[in-house]
Amino acid sequence: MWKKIWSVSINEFRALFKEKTFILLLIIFILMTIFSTYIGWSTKNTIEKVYQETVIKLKESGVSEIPLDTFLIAPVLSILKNMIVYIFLIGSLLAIIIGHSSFMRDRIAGISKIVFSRTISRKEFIIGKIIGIFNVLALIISVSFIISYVSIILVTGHPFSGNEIVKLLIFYVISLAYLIIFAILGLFFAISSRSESLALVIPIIIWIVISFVLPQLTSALNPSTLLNPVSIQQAAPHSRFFTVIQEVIKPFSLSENYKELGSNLLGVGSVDKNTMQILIDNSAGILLMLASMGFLIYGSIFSMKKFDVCEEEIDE
Amino acid sequence: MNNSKSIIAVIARKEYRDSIKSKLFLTLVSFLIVLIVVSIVVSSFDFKSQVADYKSSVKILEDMGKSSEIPSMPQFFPLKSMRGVIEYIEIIGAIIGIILGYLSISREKGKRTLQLVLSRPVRIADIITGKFIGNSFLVLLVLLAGLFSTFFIIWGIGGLLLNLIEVVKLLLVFLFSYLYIMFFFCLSSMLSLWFKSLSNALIICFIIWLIFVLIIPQIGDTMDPDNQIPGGFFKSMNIDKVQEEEVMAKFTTYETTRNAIEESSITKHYERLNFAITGIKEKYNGKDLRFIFKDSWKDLVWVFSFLLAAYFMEYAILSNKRLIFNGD
Repeated sequence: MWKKIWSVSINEFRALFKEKTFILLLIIFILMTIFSTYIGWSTKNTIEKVYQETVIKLKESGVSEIPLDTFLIAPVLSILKNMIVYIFLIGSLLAIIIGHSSFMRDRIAGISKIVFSRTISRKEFIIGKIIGIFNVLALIISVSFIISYVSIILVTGHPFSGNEIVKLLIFYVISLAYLIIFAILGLFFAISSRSESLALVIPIIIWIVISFVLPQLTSALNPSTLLNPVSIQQAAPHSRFFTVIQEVIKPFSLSENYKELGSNLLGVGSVDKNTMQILIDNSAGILLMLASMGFLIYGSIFSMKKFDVCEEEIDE
Repeated sequence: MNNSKSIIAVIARKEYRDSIKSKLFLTLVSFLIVLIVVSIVVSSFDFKSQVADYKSSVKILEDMGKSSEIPSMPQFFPLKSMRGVIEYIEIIGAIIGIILGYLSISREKGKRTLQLVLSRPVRIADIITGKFIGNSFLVLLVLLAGLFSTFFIIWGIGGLLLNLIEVVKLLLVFLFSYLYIMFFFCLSSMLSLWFKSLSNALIICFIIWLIFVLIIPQIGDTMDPDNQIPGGFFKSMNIDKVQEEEVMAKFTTYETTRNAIEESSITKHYERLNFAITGIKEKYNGKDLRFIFKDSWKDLVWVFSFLLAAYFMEYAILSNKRLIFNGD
């Protein structure tokens, strides 16, 4: 059984790497990681200078109580704060495309019609696909981890402590789990949808709901505010409407749980928390991610079992 | 000329009928309308929460005998509650444009009707214009539904009936939204014509959408020094606008680079234009249109330029008949 699953996953891995679109996505992801460090570093330097200039201006106007410089004490990993937004907004969308093309490629080429004439079960086939997607995403995330690690050392000249490496590693493992959820979502709809375009657009609609609509309902943050990792920390309104919605929805909001966990690990907001404490505090969020992943894997296997191998050409 | 007009009308009518039957289009439109409603409802409740907070603060100050320190009551500017609507049009409206453009070409490619039409005495400009007009009707229809929803929710939940100037501003927001959505329509049609694989065309289009709608605005926003602290850096330092401008005058290169990054995206121009009209950008709140367009005309020109560029690129690709006849 595992031999067959392994050969499907190897084939999936190779097929994705042969696709031009996939290479383009990979380049985007690598650029995102490089940009994330550069923008974080450049902004940190600029805000430091802006702070100094503001202090001079305040002293000139006779102000004696100067607010503290919180940027100076910010943990070094906070330079990577943009990576949280890139993963939850851009990475997850790219993961949907990877999951979508993984099965849609076979459907269009007619492979899904003939592959089961061989001695491979549908369950083995889909598990092989999921492992192939996992390997690809794990490779992308590993490249991203290495780039982040090296680029931070290069721009700051600050060697990482053991604790910082662990935090960065956990951040990328959690990010990988988040991406896999969306990749399997894309895969699920590529199997179950009758139309090629609907198979791509429905998971994108779900992505919009998870990334923008749920956070807006729980914290009244507009979509553009969510693009800034600092603005995400803004306090939610205190009315009964938002309190009730927050209590009901927030525990099930994947993106908010991921953002909270990511912000704590990278020390966004100049707070350096203990790693174990962060994991304990966010255990509900981690469980939610694992449960979503399990649910989607089961859903994909189920829809694969129901998949009509005799289907005519897929609709555009 | 009359013949050309009737050809355009026939193509436009066909486009309209085909698209309005599409499940994909209807799904997206329903989703956009739901989001517009959710967004305004959330804004209204947010405002009600601000008023409640204000009232409780007033009560505390009065109980403490500090009636002279009571701040002014927060004011509800109905058009400012449209921020979420504008941002959802930036995201979902653009996707609707992409899907319409994709469907418009995928139907033709699937049935090989484009080759057939091109073999008849029909001008390329007529095909492009017909498709553009047919889909324009659809987009305007969707936006009209959005406009009515906004108007009635502000009236029903916010309890405010918009005055004539506000209605004109609301109409302008939806008119500029039309231009913005049609840019993505032209972009998507162009890519669907250009690429041999429709699936790849759709994915590339989503990547461009990602760059324009999310990546570029994100970079610009996170580089803004004022956005480094929740609530604003300068506010946290207790300095006024004049002092802030004096400080930032020393960082012109940084600010110019940041602005240049933002200006490369049609989404940012669309956003700036509409934030000015609705008064979301404080400087323009309650100002007349002449004052607003004195500053914002450049953004309008940019939105138009993006649309025209995509339109003419689509024309150029369709003119390359070899690409069309060998493209599927």
